[in-house]
Amino acid sequence: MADVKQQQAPQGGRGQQPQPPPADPKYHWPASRALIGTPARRLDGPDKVTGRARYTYDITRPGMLYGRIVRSPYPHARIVSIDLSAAQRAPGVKAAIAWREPADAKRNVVMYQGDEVAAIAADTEEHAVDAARLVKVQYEQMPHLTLVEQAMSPDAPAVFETGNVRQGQAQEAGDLAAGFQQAAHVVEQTYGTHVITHVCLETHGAVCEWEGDRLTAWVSTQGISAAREGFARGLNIPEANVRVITQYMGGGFGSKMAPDAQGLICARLAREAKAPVKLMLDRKEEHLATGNRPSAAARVKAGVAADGTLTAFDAESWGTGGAGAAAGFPLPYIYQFPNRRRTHKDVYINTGQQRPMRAPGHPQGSFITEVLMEELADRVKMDPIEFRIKNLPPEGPNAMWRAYLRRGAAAFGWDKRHATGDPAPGPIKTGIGVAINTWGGGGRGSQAHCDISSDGVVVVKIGTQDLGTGTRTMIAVVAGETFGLPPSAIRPEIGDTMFPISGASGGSTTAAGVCPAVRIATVNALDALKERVAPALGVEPAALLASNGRLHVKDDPSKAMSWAEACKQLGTQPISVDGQWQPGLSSVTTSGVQFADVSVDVETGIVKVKRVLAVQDCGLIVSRLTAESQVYGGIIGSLNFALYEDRVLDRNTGQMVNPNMEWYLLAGMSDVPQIDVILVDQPERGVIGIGEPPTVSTAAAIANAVRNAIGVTVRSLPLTPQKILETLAQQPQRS
Amino acid sequence: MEALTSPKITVGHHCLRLRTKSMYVAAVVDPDEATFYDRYEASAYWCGHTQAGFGPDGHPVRPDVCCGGRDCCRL
Amino acid sequence: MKPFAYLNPTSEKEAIGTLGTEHGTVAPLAGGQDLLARMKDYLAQPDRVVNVKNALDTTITSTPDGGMKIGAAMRIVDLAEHAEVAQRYPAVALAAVEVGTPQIRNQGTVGGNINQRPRCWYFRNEEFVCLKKGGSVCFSVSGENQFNAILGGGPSFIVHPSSLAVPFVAYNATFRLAGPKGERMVRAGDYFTLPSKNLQTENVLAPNELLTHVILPAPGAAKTGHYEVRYKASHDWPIAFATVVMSMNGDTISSARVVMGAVAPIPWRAEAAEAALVGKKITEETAAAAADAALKGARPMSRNAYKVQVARTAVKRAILRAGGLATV
Ligand SMILES: Cc1cc2nc3c(=O)[nH]c(=O)nc-3n(C[C@H](O)[C@H](O)[C@H](O)COP(=O)(O)OP(=O)(O)OC[C@H]3O[C@@H](n4cnc5c(N)ncnc54)[C@H](O)[C@@H]3O)c2cc1C
Ligand code: SF4
Repeated sequence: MADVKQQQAPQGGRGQQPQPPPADPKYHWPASRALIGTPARRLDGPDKVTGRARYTYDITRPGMLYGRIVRSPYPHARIVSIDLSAAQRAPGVKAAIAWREPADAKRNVVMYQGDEVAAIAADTEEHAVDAARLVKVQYEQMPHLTLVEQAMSPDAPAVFETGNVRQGQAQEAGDLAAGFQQAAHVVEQTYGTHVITHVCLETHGAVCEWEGDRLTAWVSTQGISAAREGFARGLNIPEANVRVITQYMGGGFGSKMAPDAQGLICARLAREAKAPVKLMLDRKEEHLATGNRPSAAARVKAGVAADGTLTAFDAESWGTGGAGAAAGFPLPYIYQFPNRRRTHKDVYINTGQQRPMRAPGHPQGSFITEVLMEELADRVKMDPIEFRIKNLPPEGPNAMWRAYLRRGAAAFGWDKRHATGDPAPGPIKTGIGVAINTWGGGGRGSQAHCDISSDGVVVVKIGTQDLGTGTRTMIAVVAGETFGLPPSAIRPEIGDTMFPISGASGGSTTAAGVCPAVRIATVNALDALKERVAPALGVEPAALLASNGRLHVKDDPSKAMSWAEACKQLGTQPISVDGQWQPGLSSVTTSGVQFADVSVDVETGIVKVKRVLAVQDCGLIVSRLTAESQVYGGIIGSLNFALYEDRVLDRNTGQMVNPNMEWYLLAGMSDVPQIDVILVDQPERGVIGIGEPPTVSTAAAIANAVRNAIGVTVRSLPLTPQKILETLAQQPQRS
Repeated sequence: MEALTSPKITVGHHCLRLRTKSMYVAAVVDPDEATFYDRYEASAYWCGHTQAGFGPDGHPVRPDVCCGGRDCCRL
Repeated sequence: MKPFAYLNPTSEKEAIGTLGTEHGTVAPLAGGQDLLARMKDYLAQPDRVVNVKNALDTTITSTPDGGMKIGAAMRIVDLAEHAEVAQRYPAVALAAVEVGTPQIRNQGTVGGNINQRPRCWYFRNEEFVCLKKGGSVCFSVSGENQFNAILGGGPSFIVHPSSLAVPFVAYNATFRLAGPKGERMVRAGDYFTLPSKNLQTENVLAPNELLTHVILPAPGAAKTGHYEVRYKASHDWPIAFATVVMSMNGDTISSARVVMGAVAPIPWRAEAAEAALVGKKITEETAAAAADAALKGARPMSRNAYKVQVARTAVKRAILRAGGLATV
């Protein structure tokens, strides 16, 4: 594949293996594909809907105890004392540990509400919860930072040793002054997005069981090997002593890369109590302590020439990732401003730290840039799509926005768009909007193993995990394609560190890492099978083909054996071979565009999204239904970002007021619009992941649709009734 | 993706216990991506020892501080 | 959850005998949709929990004067699906069908709905020891008050959470309360209490009393409209809503009751709006004028001025719906 671009990994980065040689052409994806790209049903769907699938939450072990963490109610405090005695005496309590040392100045300060302080293990979950409340912790409250504006002010208390604000490096290109000189119009505005949390349906947590100095941990994680390494490092034991199992997990969105403190606490409680311990967090702990998407804001000045060419972009941006964490994001996003400058500040406040959240940085950069683009297009009186097309990077297989904008516009009915501000009478205004996305991906380095036994069963083992994306189905499709078998004939075994190593599921790398390894392992297995079967058919192994459940001779299909018959030849010596990812079967970087159709009630401020259309590529489409499902999920997530989710902190106490699913709003079934997906197949590029790109641009498309409907620009998310009505009240509607 | 543009973590300069997502997620780099937007720093970091965003000394974990002079730093 | 004794009385009398004399120590349990959540969050820590579902009436019956009598233990779903209620008291059915989620409606009861505690996020989070929990501040005043009261607030600024209470006040229902000394009848409009009079609870119910019935008077030929402004389609709370009940003399409104929900610590009767309606025909203009009158006295807090507009829209649209003039 000519257009697969390879480059050495950054120097010093761990987890990067040296690049293997390009894959032998025999491994390449077949030109005509029986299974790949078809809408294969999700292999483990029935297990999930019937409850047979066992998530970490469902694991029980003989004699298992339940863990519970005592957390700081304050955003910043010094722990004066921890008294475990009452908790230790409480019914059912088997272990109680302090996670802080009041006497040690390095270990006695909590930096956010929800920071870990102590922990309990008891015989029932209820006993653990009750006992945790009996741990007496004396706090000395310290000054805290809650509002970003407050933290940025020069008279803010110095909460962070290296400063409350961290100034990033300035980025510059071209000649800014010249750029603004060429501009016929300049837009100068401030845009912003808010903090949301991951809200994984299954909360974070683990079940830990010791056998001597060996630990088995069932963990809700998106990286079993990462979790193994984390346990080993955090507990100071060899990695070889740790086994991590994750058969099913209920979402991570980037927040489940490591065992985290609760993993170490769980292991320690299990050791102290000499019994397996399950420690799963509750919803409040999730909101407070397991990550979030940083906020983003930018004061932007942008220029556009009379013909609609972007000329200049000058931005000061900032955001908060919580207590001491970064809040960067790409800006401007995708569109080409030849002359630009950008400075950025990370602002620290006393909340839990950010973690990667589905396309880190991109939704923020997309919202700010796309709303700005809409304002600029209006200044030059250009159609927003034509305006975008004029200012995109050059087209390429990884940059297909022009084609997708045109294709999507036709499918969506863009020609029916009215100018900014719905002229229809009455309070219900409708509008449409568009936004684009990109993402890298490009997994590598996976291993896989394939066993075929004389009973005809095909097992593919790989130490990957299913984040909920349908990894098993994808593996079965790839293996089924190689063997000419239906996906149901393949038994994918994943989610166990006993299997050959594969990367963590992050950065949309799983498909591109796993599929080539499975392809190579299964082609190797088929080759081995052909060797063993060819003599019985009296031909050379190379003359054999596998398709439609048979092994047959290429030029003489009547000379054949059924799969079962062929495998019988194996007798007591099964086939057991490995495969390793090689370049040539996968690629990197996707492009996509999204359209949204909304209605806004200008008397109540309520926005309803009626329809979203996504045009999205992901290289070779392996498993069509699960790929589409990623697009649905990404769009729904971004809809939540646009309209509903918002981490609300009390500005005075710094405590979160909505750490639940009641006032932390999430779309229900009836709030989810019609979603149409046009998946663009690019078989010549090989496999690329699709987990992240679809969640980048929906919020911006919705914001632009709202602007198109009501005729005024709401420059920050979420687009709540409060925000819409306040914006309308400030700015009389254009007629 | 953010892993591509994160400051490089170098053995010998940074603490061996410094952790970030890209260390576990193996990816191929697309040189073209740099033309779609400038580099930015969105990565979350944590300490392998504490498994938290704060080190054994209670301070935040970040590449610019998890190196050289920090007491807990292991080179 | 704090350990508690569980009692399962089978008659009204027996149930009343189990109650305490102090708020909070004994808790009647109906559908549990509110109570159990508060107990799990340690906001309610009763010593005794009394299941009232087997002790109180679960049915709805006609009264001799042409009204209807709803048992407090009737499930919200049964009220929502009751054909006669939908026909004669449409606002009650409309309010019932919008409550929470199907699960909450299947489990929750009429009595529990009326007596549920506030949803203010300061009240619901243990960290905040607010006025209603015996503390000394209402955190909403200088905090995050986007969902708090715009009318009748002070010193606490909760909004009353019950959807059913609003149409009950609008239809001028009477609540039957039973206690150790027998029964008492209280008008729905007199049942709920402002925080300025009563910080501890939201109504006049004594700790040793139960609400047993809601008695709706004959509706006559009234025109009714009900409009709720909700952000999400389900699993959500209204930002503001309104019920309007108007008696007509030909085309002219002869008397009106306008009640708003989610705007005040009690279901809020807008007498100025009622006055603005009487003697008028139902038109866009009348509806808008009445809606303006309803919100005239509103005193928004720092972040909830938008609720004035939302409530105004709810009143206007409820009136237009009553008049068959609704366009949205
Ligand atoms: C996400 C969510 C959304 C919701 N949306 C709405 C909504 O839109 N509108 C709405 O109105 N409600 C809503 N609810 C609340 C729900 O409707 C109420 O919690 C439910 O009606 C309570 O009924 P219950 O029978 O379960 O009450 P319980 O929880 O059993 O009781 C509630 C309270 O009333 C007391 N009580 C119960 N019965 C009696 C009685 N007969 N006499 C005296 N005291 C009694 C109990 O002691 C308790 O204090 C929502 C709840 C949730 C979680
Ligand atoms: S906090 Fe200390 S021990 Fe942890 S990674 Fe940073 S320097 Fe290393």
